[in-house]
Amino acid sequence: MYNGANDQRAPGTNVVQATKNGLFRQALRFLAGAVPAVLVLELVIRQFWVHQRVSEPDYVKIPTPNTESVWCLEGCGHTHRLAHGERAGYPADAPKVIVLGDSFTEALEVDDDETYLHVAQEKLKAEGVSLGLVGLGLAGRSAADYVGFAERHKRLFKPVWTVVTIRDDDLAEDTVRPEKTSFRRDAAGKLAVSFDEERSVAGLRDALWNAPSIFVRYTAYRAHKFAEAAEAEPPMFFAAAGDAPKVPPPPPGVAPGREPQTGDYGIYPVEEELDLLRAAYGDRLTVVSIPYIDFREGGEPTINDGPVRQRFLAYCKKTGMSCVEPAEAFLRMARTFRSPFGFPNTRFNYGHMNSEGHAVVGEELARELARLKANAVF
Amino acid sequence: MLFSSPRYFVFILVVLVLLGLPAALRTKKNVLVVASSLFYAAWDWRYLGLLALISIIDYVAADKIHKCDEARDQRARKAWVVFSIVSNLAVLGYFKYFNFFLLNLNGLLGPLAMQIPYKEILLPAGISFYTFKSMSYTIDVYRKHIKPCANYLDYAMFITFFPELIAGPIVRASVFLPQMERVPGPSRERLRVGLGLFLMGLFKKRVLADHVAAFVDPVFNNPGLYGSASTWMAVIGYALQIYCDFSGYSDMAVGSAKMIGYELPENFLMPYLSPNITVFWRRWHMTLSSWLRDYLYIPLGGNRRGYVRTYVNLFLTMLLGGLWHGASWNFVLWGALHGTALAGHKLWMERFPKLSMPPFLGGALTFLFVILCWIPFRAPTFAASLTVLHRLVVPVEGVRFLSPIVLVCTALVAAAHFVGWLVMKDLRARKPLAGGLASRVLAVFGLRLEQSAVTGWSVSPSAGTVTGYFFLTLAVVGIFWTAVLESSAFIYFQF
Repeated sequence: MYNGANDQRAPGTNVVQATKNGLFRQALRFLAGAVPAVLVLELVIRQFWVHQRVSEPDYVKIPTPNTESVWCLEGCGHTHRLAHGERAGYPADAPKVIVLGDSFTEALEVDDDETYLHVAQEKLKAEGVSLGLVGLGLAGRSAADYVGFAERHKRLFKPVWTVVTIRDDDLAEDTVRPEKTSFRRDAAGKLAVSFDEERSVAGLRDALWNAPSIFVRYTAYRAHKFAEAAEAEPPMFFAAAGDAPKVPPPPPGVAPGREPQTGDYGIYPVEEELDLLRAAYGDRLTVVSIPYIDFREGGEPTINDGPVRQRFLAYCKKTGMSCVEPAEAFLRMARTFRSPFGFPNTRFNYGHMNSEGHAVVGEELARELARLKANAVF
Repeated sequence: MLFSSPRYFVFILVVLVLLGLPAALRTKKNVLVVASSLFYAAWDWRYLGLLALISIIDYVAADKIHKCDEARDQRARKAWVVFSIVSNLAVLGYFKYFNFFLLNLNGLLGPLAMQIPYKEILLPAGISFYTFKSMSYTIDVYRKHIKPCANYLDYAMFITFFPELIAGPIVRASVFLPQMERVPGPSRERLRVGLGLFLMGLFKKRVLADHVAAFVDPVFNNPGLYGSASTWMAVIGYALQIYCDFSGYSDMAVGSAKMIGYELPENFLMPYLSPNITVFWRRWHMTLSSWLRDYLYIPLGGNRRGYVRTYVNLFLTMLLGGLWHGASWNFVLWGALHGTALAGHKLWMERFPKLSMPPFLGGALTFLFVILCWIPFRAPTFAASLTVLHRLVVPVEGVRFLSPIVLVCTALVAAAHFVGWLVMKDLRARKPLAGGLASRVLAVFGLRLEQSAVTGWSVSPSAGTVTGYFFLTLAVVGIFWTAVLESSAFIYFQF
């Protein structure tokens, strides 16, 4: 135990010099210990997480072109990127179908050949339909992005058809967040895309996230995530306030006093958003909706049937838009106590789609694309 | 403010910097009282008054008890201690048990078509801990085990001391008050030992307990959904979670106090390695079990009134100990099960002293009993407890979701317990800590064993060595990389 004995020095010792030497030796020892530790950690993290993004001028942050991502935080997937950040694995010479979506389509959690677009592409190939399904999914994106950046996607990939994969929130609260590309009402009261999102900023964060060391990159990523989590912590000094329900952002043009309550998605302009999506892609569009499943003790599993889903299905029926919703297939899985969502290293029926979920969606999408092809739509 | 949240890291850093400035002892004590009050107010400032009220009542009561003792007025002494106990229990009873009482009363009044409306009462954080701590102070003064504090500042510092304010360890005044003459503030040695303990606690909480909770919580919240294999894994996982959560919290509390310059008692000593249930309760939540022993079991008569009363006293002590955890019949059941087991073990040892089990078999049975008792402790309702139990016993089809994370965390805790077992072996063989096998194993990881006043030993990082810095870097970065992102409350905060 520390007893202060080391503090006693022989008379006449130059204390300042001794302290300096001591600190120097301590610093050397620290470096001798810490540097190998960092090297070990660099080797370890490369097995579990390698990921980087760059800002594309006039667009948003995309996965760095021609790189490989490893993502074992939820599931464990390897993703290969091509020249524009799109997912590898489609035949370059086949007619292209671009597949837009959020993190469910980016699908970092599963390997390239397990994604629903790859499953659909292979199934179509087996049926003699040659299509290249180009994965352009990006985490955090929503319907406003798919409308706003339609010209970019059409210019780069010249698709014969477009698939947009959504969940309820992609037509609701995710489309009106002011910090992202969002829908707002213009002066004439029409729904329009707002590009207020800060883009193409080459700041410190960009530099850290693209550092050659994965140790640095992952540490920066974690710091960002911790900062996000800290912002979501309940307020201090008022414990009861932390229990208040979170209110989603109001939709564009909603009058004061009609602000949405938790779970009240009924007032978002779902039909207008879908109109804009169809217009952006010249009606050459399939919308895939990923439903949620509710497992209930002692009861049949059900699909989470919210107002956005109901209005989406009604819109499909009314307009004849090409729509895919793997609800029945998901329920069949659920009846055997399996879920399309969740991974062994996370939770059951929680988070992103696992490979079984991707396989189900891929089959349904292939069926729809085959039907469209048979009808000579493309 | 949770020990495991970034807010607390900033808070303790500021406190350490302030205490590191040259100032008089009294000023530093003032800083600690203000910091502790802020720490408590950060949860909800409106309950700061309650804490002040309890501390004033008990400070005055203890002072009066002492003065009555000098005046040889025994009746007044008794009256003041009863006043203190009743005040504390009244506060605890109102905030914690009032609605539980109404729930049961309404159940009884149901046939008469009468219902008394419930009150919206927000349970003040740490109320069970600080009322017990404060009550023990007046009782100790009454028993003449300690002298009362000379001034209110010292008492306020004892009651509000933030590292153990919310969830213990329940520190006795006899342990803490003698340390008040020390000058608080960081030193290299205090930081080395304290930070080491804090990091260990942080790892147990944010990495082990919180990751395991992500698997355990859904199973206990919907037990009818999961198959037998998942249910077994969740039950074992919860045993791991509650140990890592609460002992992690205790490590952070003891570590924070050490960094400031005070010693708090340990709360855990590898309880899952206990060879029987009696030893388990000497190693699990040690400060509560010793509190219950000294302030409940012994006043009830302890083992001085014959066999039957001893067993009844043991049972009653654990029953009330269960109720202390929360206002629910599930906690009462949990306490009753442990009380029965303790009484049963005592009976067995007295009637059949030569028929003791081999330690390994006894340890396995004790562990099985303890994890089964955690079911009513964790399950949200009595019916959910029965569903979990049913699925453990009868193979039932359901979701088969097995988490590799629970397996990895179990392996890590088992490995740490193995080293702890080696330490105990060395201690039993009367080998000096520094020369034993456990010391050599720990030295490989840049850790060292040290004498500890309470448990006989503790583990802390070796400072100033290359190996020490190597593993310290691995530990700090490892926690940062693998910790669950959201700060979740400690399980014992709800009590």
